[in-house]
Amino acid sequence: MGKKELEKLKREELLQLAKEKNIKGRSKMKKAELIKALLRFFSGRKKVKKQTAVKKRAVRKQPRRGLISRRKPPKVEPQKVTETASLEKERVEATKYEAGKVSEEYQSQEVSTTGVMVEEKVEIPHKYGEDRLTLLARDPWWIFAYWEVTPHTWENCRNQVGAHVTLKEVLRIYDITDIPELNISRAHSFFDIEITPFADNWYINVGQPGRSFCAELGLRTPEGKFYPLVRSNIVRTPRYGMSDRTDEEWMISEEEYWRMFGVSGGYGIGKGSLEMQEMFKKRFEELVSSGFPGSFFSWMHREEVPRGFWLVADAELIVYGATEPTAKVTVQGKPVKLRADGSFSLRFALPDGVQEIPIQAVSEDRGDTRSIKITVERNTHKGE
Amino acid sequence: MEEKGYLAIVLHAHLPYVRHPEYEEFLEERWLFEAITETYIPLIEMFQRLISDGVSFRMTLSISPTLACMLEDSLLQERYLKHINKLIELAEKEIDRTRWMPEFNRLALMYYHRFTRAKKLFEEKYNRNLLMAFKEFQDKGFLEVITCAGTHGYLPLMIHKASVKAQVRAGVNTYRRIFGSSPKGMWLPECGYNPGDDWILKEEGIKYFLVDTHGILFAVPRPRYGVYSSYFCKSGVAVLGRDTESSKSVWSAIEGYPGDYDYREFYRDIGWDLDYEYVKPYINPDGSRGNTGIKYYRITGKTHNKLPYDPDRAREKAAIHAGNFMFNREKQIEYLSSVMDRKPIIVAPYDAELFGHWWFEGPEFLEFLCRKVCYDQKTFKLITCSDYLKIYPRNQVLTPAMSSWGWKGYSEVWLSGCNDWIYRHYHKAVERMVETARKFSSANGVMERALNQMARELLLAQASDWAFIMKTGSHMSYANRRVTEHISRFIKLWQQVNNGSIDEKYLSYLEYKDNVFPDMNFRIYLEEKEAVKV
Repeated sequence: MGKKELEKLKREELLQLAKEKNIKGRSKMKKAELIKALLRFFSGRKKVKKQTAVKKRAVRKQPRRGLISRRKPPKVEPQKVTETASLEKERVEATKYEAGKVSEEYQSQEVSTTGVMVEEKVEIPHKYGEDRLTLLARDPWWIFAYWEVTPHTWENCRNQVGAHVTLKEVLRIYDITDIPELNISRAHSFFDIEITPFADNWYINVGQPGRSFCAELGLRTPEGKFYPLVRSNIVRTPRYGMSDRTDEEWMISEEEYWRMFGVSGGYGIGKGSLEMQEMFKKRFEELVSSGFPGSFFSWMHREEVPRGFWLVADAELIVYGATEPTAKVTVQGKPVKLRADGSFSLRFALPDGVQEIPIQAVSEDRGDTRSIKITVERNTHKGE
Repeated sequence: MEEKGYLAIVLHAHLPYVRHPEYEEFLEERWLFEAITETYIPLIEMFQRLISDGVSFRMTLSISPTLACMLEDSLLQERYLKHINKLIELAEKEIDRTRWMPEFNRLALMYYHRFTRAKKLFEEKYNRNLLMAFKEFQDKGFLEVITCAGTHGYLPLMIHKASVKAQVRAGVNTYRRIFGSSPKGMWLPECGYNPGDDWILKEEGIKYFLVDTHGILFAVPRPRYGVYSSYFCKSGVAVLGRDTESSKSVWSAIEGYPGDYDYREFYRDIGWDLDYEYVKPYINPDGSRGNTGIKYYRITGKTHNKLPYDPDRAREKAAIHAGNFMFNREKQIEYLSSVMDRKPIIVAPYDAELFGHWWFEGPEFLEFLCRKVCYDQKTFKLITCSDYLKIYPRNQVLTPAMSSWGWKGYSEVWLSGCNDWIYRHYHKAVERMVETARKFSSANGVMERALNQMARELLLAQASDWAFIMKTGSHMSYANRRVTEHISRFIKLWQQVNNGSIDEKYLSYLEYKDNVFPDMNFRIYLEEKEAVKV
């Protein structure tokens, strides 16, 4: 979707579009800001900027790092020096787009571990320059459609109709269940949906499980004449509920089925019977909408217990000191690792009460001993 | 007394391919590291204990091809070691720090031992490649490892058969390369099944797959045994349905075992709780707070005042829950066997990462369950789906209904306002891939490499995880970025291949960056007959 097209839309329409695309902060945006945000979404430009900036920096660093690590005399070509200097500005600018995940440090590391580094511009088109209408079945009742119509097809159709006629853009959905060879004229039924101008996708409530559908996007005159622009693939909505067909060999009565379902659906054992059938039917829906978490990522979010104003505070104690690097030191009788310079530090979670901390150093030849004892007391009082 | 029925526990292990050699450290790579420490290694240790104690059990494990490729990747192996070393270092500090608080000190010790054991097992026992552990358990006859679609692409929203086929083939090929045999079963990503997909599984030699409960209950014709038997699709591939009751007791956030107040609280991690400067080296690479893996509290209740975790108490609870789970299955199977003219099978599939990562005591629960089923009852036995098919080679033929195990049972999780924009790119890319593969089916050298890389980029873009993450919110920008990057790279390669002007430097860069499926052959996008031409 281009800038011009977006500018023709009302703010409300842009807002709707922004909502569909999940653009953050949209409700506070002015029209121009919305357009900008949407354009950014469609072109992935925000990402492009970030990506290229990051990559460029990495590329620049490569020769320098390489030289240092290989310990060769730095042969810097004059041309490259100026390039590097001019890139400093970009480098600073690029930090604005950092997601916070990638710091300067990691970038420079990047180069040292790789042999190849290529400047990469990440972008995807919003349109592919073709006529296309695709349907996807979302569930037994809903279909999703996305489309693209080239200006050429559009104009052809316009010319065919005549420029003076007011036209409505509509999606026509055909029920073509069991109709061979996609013969639309033999469709069981169809219905139209008027499309918001410049929309390029739609959720359609067909309301019928287990049926096949196909669609056409087209223009409709006030008299109801329909000019198709593009036709879709065929989709079948999932079937829903118990099948009426039974198998001769594997015969199962309805009653038995419900009894089985009673167990399958988790309604206790042996409860299934004819009188409960209605209840079970209602619970079909429960069954498929129970929605257990289905993935590694679903656990990363959890509803929090509501919390009012709060404060947490705790205390830790750092015990530190130094002695001869060769000495043996114990704190509360437990040996402590000394740093090369003979210093040490220990960190303790400090509970309420009195802590006695004897510290002892014994010289390497065990001839000398020094000891210090520290006593600490913590009292915690929670106010209101 | 002979058993009256069977329980098939199926664990599905999957993570999307996340590997960023271009960064020293990358936040999302921790998904793998955490899963290794908290799920895969505890499961391996559990299998080891069961086997060495002579407990007879059968279990099924689906390992997604992307996870398999990550587990055998030397860079990620190297990085895991670095990660576990840091954890060990932190645990050592914690042992000192908690010296005056015995209730925490013993937990610090527990973590220290877990981490050092994990490191040893990873590095010494399996020479960094954990896949070898699962292969060993499979070869010994305890575990049946099955495969999954190549990059865990959600099949029902693929409108091109060639796309489904390529996903299935990438999965089967990866399995053969690693395990040296053909997979018997395939886990359909998110249990997403569309009628007809079974023909593709058939072509690739898959014998069975699983669907969610309603996939079977709504099948045509009416299923004779509900979800308590195997069935055949018209293609001859077997299908089994998930049992809701056993799922609920584990999955449900409200009634499920993992929410028990004695179990470890996932959200109270020292990465959030302790002094910033102290935990900084162990949290997120950018310095923002995050999980370290060391957690000291139990769920306690709906309160912010959490009590310290008590491993013995939690372990006892896991044993009680395992007993309860077993008892319920016994009752279920006793009833079912009284109304069925064959022995029922209860299929209980779970995400593997639920056990250990989310439900810390999960592996213990499974271990108790296996032991109890083996020694404490005679009503049912553990089995795999393919074992069941050997017992019952004749089954009713039906067409399962389109279904998934996602929220609301269909495709809404992967198709909604926040992620539906990806499908026009997926579909177009698949069309281009198929067309280009046909056009250059006899390509070799650089051209072939470019085509193979196109296939990798396309498959990576299709991982169901991206749409899922876009829907659920956390790490959303990362998911957006991954789809955009792979599609963008695909398009660039497509242009270069068609222009006959391949930028070799760029190609090598992508091969180094997106190196999933080392044996990739782009001809997985061709029909059998077309591929023969080569």
